[in-house]
Amino acid sequence: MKMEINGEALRVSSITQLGEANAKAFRDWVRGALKKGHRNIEVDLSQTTFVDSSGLGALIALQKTAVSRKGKLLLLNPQPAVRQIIQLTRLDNFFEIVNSE
Amino acid sequence: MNAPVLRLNLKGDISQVREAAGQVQEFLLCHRCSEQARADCELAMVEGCNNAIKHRPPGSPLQPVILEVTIEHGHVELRITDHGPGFNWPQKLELPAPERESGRGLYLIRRLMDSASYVRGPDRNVLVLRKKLAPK
Repeated sequence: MKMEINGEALRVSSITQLGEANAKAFRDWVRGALKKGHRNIEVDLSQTTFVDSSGLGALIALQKTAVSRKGKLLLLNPQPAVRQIIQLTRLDNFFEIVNSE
Repeated sequence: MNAPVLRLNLKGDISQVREAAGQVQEFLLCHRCSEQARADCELAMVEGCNNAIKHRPPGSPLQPVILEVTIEHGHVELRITDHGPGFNWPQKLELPAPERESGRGLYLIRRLMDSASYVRGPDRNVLVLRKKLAPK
């Protein structure tokens, strides 16, 4: 996984999987990296092939973290399988999903 | 002819579930299951096994969670057996509020598979999940 800072946003990318085995560590790693002034969290899901209910839980936790900092969580370019899980659990209106070509 | 079966004993921790998921994917691919069916079965299997491993009583002798995958009569059957205390399968599976961080596993299993049955017994619990394979 990679992390980069872009102004007020912290962007995480190169995430292959987000499941029970790594979801809590991922959540804590991102939270721990947030510094004063970082409001938004961007999670690039373009390389993520698998997300389970624990992975969704970590993303929900980060959404709440961002809101508590008066910012937002953006999910970038989720693959179809991951988008399907987000839709099945009716979180597509809860998360802000950005698809770019 | 015997139906093809994949049987895995999960003795370790949660990280073993992801390895098993890879084996299940390969098995389903070998038997020409569609990409959608493979993805759905993989997630349902991971949710079921994670549950079984997470609810294993601490300090008890380590009994493996057994995963069996069978392809028969145009269906995939996933059978997950554990020896933990088990739980009561909810009568109605509903989604939690969006801000709740957990409680979606059983709902996902039910939505991804055509049928799900859970039998809680005195010494073992068995979760049986079935999905029809679309004709190619």
